[in-house]
Amino acid sequence: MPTPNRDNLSSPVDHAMRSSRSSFDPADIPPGYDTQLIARLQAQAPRRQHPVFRWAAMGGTLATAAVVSLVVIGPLGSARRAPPTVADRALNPRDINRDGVVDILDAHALALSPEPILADGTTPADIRDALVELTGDSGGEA
Amino acid sequence: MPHQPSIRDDVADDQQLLDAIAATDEHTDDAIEALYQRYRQWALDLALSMTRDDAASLDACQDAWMEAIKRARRGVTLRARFTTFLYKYVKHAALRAKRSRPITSEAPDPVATPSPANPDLTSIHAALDRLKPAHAEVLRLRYWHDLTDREIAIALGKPLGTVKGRLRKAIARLEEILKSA
Repeated sequence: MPTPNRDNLSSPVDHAMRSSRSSFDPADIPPGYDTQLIARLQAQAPRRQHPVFRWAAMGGTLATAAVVSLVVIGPLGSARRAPPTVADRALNPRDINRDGVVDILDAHALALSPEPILADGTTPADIRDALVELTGDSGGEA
Repeated sequence: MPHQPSIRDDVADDQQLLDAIAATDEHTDDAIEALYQRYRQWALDLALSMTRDDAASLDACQDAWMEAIKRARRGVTLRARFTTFLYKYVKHAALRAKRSRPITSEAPDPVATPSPANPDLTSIHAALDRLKPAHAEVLRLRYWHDLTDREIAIALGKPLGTVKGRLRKAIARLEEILKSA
């Protein structure tokens, strides 16, 4: 006889839950629904090939963080604290939130870094310049 | 021996699709379609389990996919299966759809419709409705949507211990309700 444990004690519940599983019937999906939705999804994807978007795609969280920092806080301005070591701060998993974006203050520190943040040598200042060129808005004074 | 796809393979594969969406190049459209086709049914089932209404589920999935793809365009690093990423978008869209399209008492409940294969369906759903929403949510994710404890924790943004605790309490409470029925 198996030793009672939480799993086999609750096996009636396990069985009941598994047997109650239900599914959306594809027959109930209106004709053309998928096609229309995919078309809408595809239309959402930007066709712009601006360097900022390419960098963001290439660099993942670091580039995203720099872009967020530059857009939200303003480029290289209003530093509220001395930047910590960029590599230490930006790469610390504790500073990366659920969406994979580095904490905003650390992103700011990252944006202040003169060091390249992408393998191709792109620096935060490069991204800033590209953003300014793209949006026509500097977002604040350095 | 043929290679059996693992969860890790799935995550890597989905990550490639997400990267292609973020890259906005010639592969983006194909990646969007592949990701949609792969998780279309999962999302619809999830929305249906929350709204219990076909039309509201379709509305919710439209919104959820739009939001998820918009987010994916900014770059996403998966920490677990794609469903843990998609979950919050479907959940929030389903709750919005449910609020904007109140279900009348006469409306059929497609989820709870008994079938010969599932004679206890109505009682299970009635029992789930008597649980705390947070407890019913973890049970649905575990049993209907095949997420592990860790994946549920990621999907809900809760600590693993909280999820384990909720599951334990939810199972115990559901057992009590079913026994007393």
